[in-house]
Amino acid sequence: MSTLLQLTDIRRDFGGVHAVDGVSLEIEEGTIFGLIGPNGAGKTTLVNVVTGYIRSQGGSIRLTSKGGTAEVARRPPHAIAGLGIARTFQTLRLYRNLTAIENVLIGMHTRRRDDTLRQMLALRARRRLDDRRFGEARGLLQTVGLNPDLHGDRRASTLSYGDQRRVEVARALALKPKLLILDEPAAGMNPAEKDRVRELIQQLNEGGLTVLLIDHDMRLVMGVCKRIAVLNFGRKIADGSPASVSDDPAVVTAYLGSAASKTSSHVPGSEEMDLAATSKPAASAEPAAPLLEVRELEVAYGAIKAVRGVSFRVGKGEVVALIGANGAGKSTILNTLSGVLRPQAGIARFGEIDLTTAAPDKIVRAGLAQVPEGREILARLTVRENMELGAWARRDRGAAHREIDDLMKQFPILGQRHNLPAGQLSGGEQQILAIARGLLAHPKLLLLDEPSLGLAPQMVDTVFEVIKRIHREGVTILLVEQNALRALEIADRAYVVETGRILLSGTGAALRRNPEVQKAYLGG
Amino acid sequence: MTQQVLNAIFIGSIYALFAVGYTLVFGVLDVLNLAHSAVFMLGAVITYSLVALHGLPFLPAAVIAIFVCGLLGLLIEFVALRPLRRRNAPPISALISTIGLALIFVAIVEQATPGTFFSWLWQDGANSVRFPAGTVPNPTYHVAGLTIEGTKLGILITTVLLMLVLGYVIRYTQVGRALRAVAENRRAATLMGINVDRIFASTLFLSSALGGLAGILFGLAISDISPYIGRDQVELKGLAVIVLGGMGSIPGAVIGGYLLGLIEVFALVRFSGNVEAGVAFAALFLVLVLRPQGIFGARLRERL
Amino acid sequence: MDFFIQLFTDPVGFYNQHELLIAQIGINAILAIAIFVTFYSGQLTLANAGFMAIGAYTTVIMSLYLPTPLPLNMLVGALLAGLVSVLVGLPVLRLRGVFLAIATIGFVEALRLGVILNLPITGEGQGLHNPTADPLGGIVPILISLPILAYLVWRLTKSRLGQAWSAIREDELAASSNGINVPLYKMIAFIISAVLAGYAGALETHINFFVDPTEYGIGRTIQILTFAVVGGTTNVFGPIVGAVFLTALPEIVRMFAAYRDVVNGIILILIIIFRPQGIVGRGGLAIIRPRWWIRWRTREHAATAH
Repeated sequence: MSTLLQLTDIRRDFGGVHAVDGVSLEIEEGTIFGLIGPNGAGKTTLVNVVTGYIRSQGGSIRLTSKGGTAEVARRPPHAIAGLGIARTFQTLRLYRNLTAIENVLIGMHTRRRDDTLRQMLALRARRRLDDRRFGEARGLLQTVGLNPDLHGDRRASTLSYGDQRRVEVARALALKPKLLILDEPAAGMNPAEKDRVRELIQQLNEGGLTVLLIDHDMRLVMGVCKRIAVLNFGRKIADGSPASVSDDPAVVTAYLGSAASKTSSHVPGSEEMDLAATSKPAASAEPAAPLLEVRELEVAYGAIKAVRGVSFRVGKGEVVALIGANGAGKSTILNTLSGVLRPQAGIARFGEIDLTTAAPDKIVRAGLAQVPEGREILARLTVRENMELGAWARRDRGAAHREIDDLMKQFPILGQRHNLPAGQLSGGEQQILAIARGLLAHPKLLLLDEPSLGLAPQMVDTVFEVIKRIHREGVTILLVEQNALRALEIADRAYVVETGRILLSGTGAALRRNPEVQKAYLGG
Repeated sequence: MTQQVLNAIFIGSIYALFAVGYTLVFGVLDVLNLAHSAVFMLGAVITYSLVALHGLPFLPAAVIAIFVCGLLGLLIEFVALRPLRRRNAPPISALISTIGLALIFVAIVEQATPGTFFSWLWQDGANSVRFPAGTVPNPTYHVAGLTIEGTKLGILITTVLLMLVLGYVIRYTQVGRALRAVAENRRAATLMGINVDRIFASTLFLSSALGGLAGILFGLAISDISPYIGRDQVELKGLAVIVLGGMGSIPGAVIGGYLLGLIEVFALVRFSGNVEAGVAFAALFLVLVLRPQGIFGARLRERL
Repeated sequence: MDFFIQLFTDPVGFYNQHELLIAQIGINAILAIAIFVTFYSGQLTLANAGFMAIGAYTTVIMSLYLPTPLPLNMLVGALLAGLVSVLVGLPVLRLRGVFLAIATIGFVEALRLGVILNLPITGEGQGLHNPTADPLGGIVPILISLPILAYLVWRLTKSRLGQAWSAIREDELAASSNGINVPLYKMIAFIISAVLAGYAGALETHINFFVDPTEYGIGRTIQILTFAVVGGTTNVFGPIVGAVFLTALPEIVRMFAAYRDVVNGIILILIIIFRPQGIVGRGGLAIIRPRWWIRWRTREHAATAH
């Protein structure tokens, strides 16, 4: 089997950070090649380099086909598409106001000869060519599992999320590519939908198509790829068959953190999982008079149902965790509680306040503060100014100032850098600043959205120490985390969220021991 | 030559004041408020109306006019901007709706002649007028061979004071921090309990008040008040200034304003004639092409 | 209302009485088509008044100083506008959104204030007299060109080029991944738009005896923008409808003729808030389109595509 695409020593820096640090791979023609790694490992950056959206700062990318070998690096995206490399996007980039058929037709752009003059005249020949293209587009929609009569003429934005993903694949296929790059094609899908995606990929590959599959869902990737490369912090740390990669200790460490490598011998999720087995919720003593009560919450983004009927409670003084895979709907829940999103149905009560209708600033003043995902620090304001704004909702300026000084003593990092622009702090330091800022609002309930995201393992330790400390001082916490292990270590109770529903609930300890949870979620 | 530089500083002050309003709204709301120049014009027109048609002394007239312009800013927010935000409209829409408001404002004044509906506001239609003589005391000082008019000195002092106050408020008060927070990250600001809608309204009020004040000072210094002073004199120059200084940056707007004043005077001296105005746009063009973020702006990059 | 009564009962008389208005409508419609082309490719360029000026001045200057026939002068005017658009477009088209708008506005004003008002050959601030103008005959080329241009641009939007423009408008990054050379296609749209605007400018000088530099400033461009916004930019007929409607409006509603800009401004705001797709936008005239037409269209495609 010959090599279709060869990457040699690809590098890309962004302001000192090595997003891609000397990565080399070989993709064999006719195979499915997987590229995985934790969040922020550089997978999408690498794909963007290969497809020309970001220039590589070194190395070469060679595409070999019947016509010869072409150097792909540093060419513009449209030229690379012209060479036969098609892709889908992590964030789903369809032409939203065009119909599904029109989306696919545009995918044929490189193969359609310029017919501008012919279009000017109403010739029969033009009609026939148009019809042929239409026919091909319809065929492609069928290939990806859509009914052209049902979906073809609908505007892309009105289709369901899963169908939109399919249209994007059909559009990429319209290129008749030599290599199809799928960037997180199953993001936000439930296991059943993911299975269908897996089947589609296999089907396309059986037809001879070479596929590069990027995802962080181990189950999907392991089941389908002939070979897998693993990235972490921009470097390739493993490259081989699924079996060898899943047992590689370096990979296990990358996914689970140093502590967990002692409890797990392989990357969880890489074995065949019995999806049907969902154990009954373990005994979870929900508080009788909760601080926060959520019932049957439903939240949708357009056609995408992110949260489908979620109910839980948080009692005073507890640490409650919501764990689950990426895209399960956890952040959506928090944003709804903060009033930034509005639910389609359901109840969310915080004391006297109806969170589903109250204005966001009122919610904060009532004592519900959020430390958002990605920290959302005001980078150009100084550390001190960020903290001062944390106390915006409060009336007692004097007390607030004293608390700021106290917090600076408690977290010396903040004290040392108090006059620096917050953007200059490291990820972990910013997380601590975000937490301090959240505390300054004197919250009765603090929502923490993915505090460990993108942080190196030691910083994660520090951040979780901070969380434990503020809990000891009496703050009630609702914690959302992909890193289930850490979350369950400190949580009093936890709920497992999957595709918008609560699957399991119980005490932190009980869920940690639950084998289903271990299999499914301890990989992140 | 130094006389010319002095003139440049005076006119630069007006550009700076005007541009600060422009850039404030762009920085905080991410919207280019093209009705700003119309408010500039209305500041002058309203003051003139109160002084010449209704007999008020200058200072109270100016204060009222500035306040009314602030209210016009609220009008812009509630009529042209908020409905679009509620509908998640693309940013171009805000541009267009502010153009619509500008059209309305200018047309109202343009058509106001004696006997029409708006004759209480303005009676000179499309013509240009000046403040009646003696509206403002205007002694001339002769210092070191230079002639300095009192009004122009007053403009300079007012502008500098105002900029200092504004700078202080933005840097050191909680409200100023909230403004910066909303400008930087709307979502984070919301989560901190800042009422973003209210901040937007305040920004528009402040920006339009500044714009109106700039118009009043312009009318005083240049003795030209007409429905077109916004569109012809400052609208595009204001754009040039904020692009030069960096869109969203207040110090950039101030420095850019004075810089433009200097460039114009320099071009006038070197080339004379109407080239002076063309130079402003040539500068604008060059900046956009070579360094779109201006002097103080942040790099613009599309997220993949 | 006698406007409409005359239109239907005495079309010939209507024509004779309102010739200048019809000519102006025609020119505005062509300008609307020009801005449609750039809008359709997702670019907010506000340079049309500048290209109009190039077309207008070139034509008149050539008529005054060269023995060349009028159609040639017009052609040269339009092509020169196209040439200048390449020079302007190269640096400017990689800007996006608001910045592109500002840069193109800058170009228009720089052209007007810096060049036109300063060259003796353009008559500086006084404008130019055009003795060869033919207000009555001048309407003929307008009425002939308009439907032809509209048809050509319509077919263009259905072609591979037009589809590429749609893609660019919807999502530039995705368009690149589909092999579309985004900078090139944007430039092509810009050039076509400039040539059309230049042509309209040339046509306009042919019905006026006087070329007035104040005509070609930012106000004109905003007027053209209004046609596009109010009419809708989903297909080429939108801006044409917008141009016809807004140009004729002050005639129809004589009462508000003086306040035409107020009315324009109000219409603009109402449309952009409540009906951003314009009068003829997708989902627009569907109210007027009968159901059977829609069903026929989808079935046609479904049936022929085996």
